[in-house]
Amino acid sequence: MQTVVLVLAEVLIVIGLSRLIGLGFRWLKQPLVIGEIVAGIMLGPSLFGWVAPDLAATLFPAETVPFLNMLSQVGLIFFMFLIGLELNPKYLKGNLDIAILTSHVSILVPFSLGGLLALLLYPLVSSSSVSFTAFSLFLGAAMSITAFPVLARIITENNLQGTRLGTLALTCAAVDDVTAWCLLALAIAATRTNSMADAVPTVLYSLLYIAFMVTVVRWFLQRLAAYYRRTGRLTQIVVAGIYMAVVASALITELIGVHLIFGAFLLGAVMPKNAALVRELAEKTEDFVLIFLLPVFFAYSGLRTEIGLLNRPELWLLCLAVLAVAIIGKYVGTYVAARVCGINNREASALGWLMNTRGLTELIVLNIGLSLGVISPLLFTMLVIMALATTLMTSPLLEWTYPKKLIALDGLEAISEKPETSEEPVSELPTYRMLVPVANPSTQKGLLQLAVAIAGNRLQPTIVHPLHLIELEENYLFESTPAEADRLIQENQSRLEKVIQSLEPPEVRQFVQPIVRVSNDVARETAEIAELDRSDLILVGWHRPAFSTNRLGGRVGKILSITHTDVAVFVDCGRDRLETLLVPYSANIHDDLALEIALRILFHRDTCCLTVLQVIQEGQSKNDFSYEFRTMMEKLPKTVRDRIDIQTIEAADPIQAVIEASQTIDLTIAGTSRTWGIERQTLGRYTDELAVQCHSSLLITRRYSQVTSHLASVLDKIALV
Amino acid sequence: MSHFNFKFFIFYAAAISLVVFLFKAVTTYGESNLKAPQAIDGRYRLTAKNLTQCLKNDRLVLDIQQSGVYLNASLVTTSNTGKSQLTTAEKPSLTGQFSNQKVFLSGLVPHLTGCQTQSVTIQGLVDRQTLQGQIILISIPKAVNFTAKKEAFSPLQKDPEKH
Repeated sequence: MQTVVLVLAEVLIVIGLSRLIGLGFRWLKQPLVIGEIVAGIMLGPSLFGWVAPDLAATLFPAETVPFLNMLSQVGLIFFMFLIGLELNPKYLKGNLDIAILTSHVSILVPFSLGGLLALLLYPLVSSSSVSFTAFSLFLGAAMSITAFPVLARIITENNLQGTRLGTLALTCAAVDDVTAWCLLALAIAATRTNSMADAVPTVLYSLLYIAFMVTVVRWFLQRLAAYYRRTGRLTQIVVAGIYMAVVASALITELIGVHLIFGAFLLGAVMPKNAALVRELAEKTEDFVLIFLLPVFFAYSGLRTEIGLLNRPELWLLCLAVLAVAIIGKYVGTYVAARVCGINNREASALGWLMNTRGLTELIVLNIGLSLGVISPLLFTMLVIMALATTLMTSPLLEWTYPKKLIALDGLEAISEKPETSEEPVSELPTYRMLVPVANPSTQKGLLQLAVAIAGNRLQPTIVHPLHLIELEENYLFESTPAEADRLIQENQSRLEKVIQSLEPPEVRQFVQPIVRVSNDVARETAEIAELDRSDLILVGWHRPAFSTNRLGGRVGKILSITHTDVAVFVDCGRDRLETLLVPYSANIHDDLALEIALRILFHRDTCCLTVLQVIQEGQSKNDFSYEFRTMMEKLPKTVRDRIDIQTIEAADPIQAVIEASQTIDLTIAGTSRTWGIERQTLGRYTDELAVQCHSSLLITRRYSQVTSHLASVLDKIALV
Repeated sequence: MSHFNFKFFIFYAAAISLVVFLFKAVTTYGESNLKAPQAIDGRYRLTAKNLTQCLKNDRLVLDIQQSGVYLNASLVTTSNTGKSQLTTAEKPSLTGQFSNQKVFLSGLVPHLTGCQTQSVTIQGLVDRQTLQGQIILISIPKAVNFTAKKEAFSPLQKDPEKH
């Protein structure tokens, strides 16, 4: 009983620490799983055992290790099942010949180099109980691994899944993965029998089993998928059957002589890829496996990783040699193969770095090697360091060779080049660009309606980009796979299209072009897109943050503080009308922006009228309107000027005066100045009063750039007409 | 297209054959010429006459952890057996090398009371389960001969995968 209690306590520590460190790595823009691996290593003799050996010995005594091993094996089996589930033949479409060539070269080169490295390492760090053949086979296989799961996530997060680079990388990695597992199976068989010749029966049995799985079992599973399509539900008895099949398959491959994980992986791979069935199954399985069991595997692996073993300079040199061989093998191999196939320099380089990711898959392979005794803890530790290093370097290097700017720009250009469907093709380039972050397409029609009212098309060619960013969870969930991400993007795109098609008047629909992408930091990505697109204005709806009384904090606040564009925040009170506007004016650059926006609306809506309100406090002399204000008013055509009414009133509390005046108004547009109680930078505490008590909808404007003009430059052209 | 496929196929077959051949060559060379060090890790019970000062203890045990030719070891007494049986074992304080059956270790012995600040050198020859050699404590310039026999594995012992 005591041991069980201890094991559960250990699991508690492991899960908590994994999440914590994982979040830290997420902040560093690295995959979460790397953080979990590092957390496991920290709990072992490398950090915890080194700093506080007695405490570590009490918390992680030897008796509990077999239990941890048990839990981690179960976790691994189901994790491999999930990996097999995700392996979609869809990834193998297109570029197949390039992909096969590139991926096989990217295995052959590191494998050969690994074999050569074995010549160096065997006399130094191995022992006579392991044959050279098994050792070199294993080392070669370890060098050839590419982590498909980690790669797939990196691709999704960088929105590469639609690009040629993305699909090529995925196909290569998928082929690579399967081939490397086969190599590993061979290595395991050779190790257990200690020679290549004796491994032949094992190989034959494995091939037989694979054939069986791909034909008989697959047929059976397809019947199951048909049943699922009919009933639409995944009942518990079906799930029970599938789980039993996973374990049975794992047992069979273990009996054959290759490892447990192959059986589980194989079953996942032969499951029919009927998306809904796979999705539901994945969702049922992944939470417990990824959150509870997999970190235990990392802890178990971490307990066997002893960085303290590298206590001499020559050992660190050997480690460096291992790392160099691994990187050179993968990167150079992939790069050369890709160039030979005609891929351009930048893409080939990016592909090379992507294929260099070894991550989690490598750790699984290494643990098997250590358990079989093929590698010693010293070599195990060196290879773990290699796996971590190669995975950590992928994201920064990818950004360096294939920067996000390039990808994003390609995406935006593709959108603006889309053919127009109306009779009046937009032949000119838009000179006024608006970005409208839309969190929930179905409920923010008012926001879009306001956007087209401001943008319009009469003054100049404009373009409005409703932006919907899908925030992915940071973990290995099924929804983060490229195929699934694509599906989500499609879904949201059509929702947005529906809303756009319902906008009035119909002419405005043609210059509204939605952008739907995946992101893990919505505020930052919004700011980046605004910068890339050279947006003139960001129009964002107000979201209420969960834990703050600051009404305009949260995501909107973040966007305001990061972005270098003019921003307008829309606080919708639900009114559909846009007939009367109110602009409280106090000779301030933000109020000028408010005025410009109001005037743009006036231009586009013939029945709209505007009241400009100047509030003077007692004793103050009447403020002169700013120079910009006056020049703008002069340039306005008569039809617009007639609908503007400038009022000056005296009141002690300007904010209350505005609130009073807003009773008869549809939309109040206020700049972020203290006068109206709004802080410039983040729209802080003072906003409450105006936002809460305003009787109309409220649009809060903040000017960032002194130079951008939303109206003045256009007015010059109109004045000439 | 079929023309391309054929060239492809040839290239492929050539590449794979080359790698297989290379691998075969490497493994043949490796199997015949390369020898990995024998596994000598484990706990060795020391017996010696003339052990003096803090080394005087008839329950001395040399715990060797091996990674190929690199050795890490600690000199302990069987009284703190319990402690050193743990997974996250205390740091070995002796380091050394093993080649051609010869063992060389040097370092500190913090686990022995009275010897905490002294450094120790151990040299010896391994013959199957026995290690025979000399132990030199820095304060006593004279070398002391010893014989050590490897202990058989006990249930709580570390399993073969450990070092």
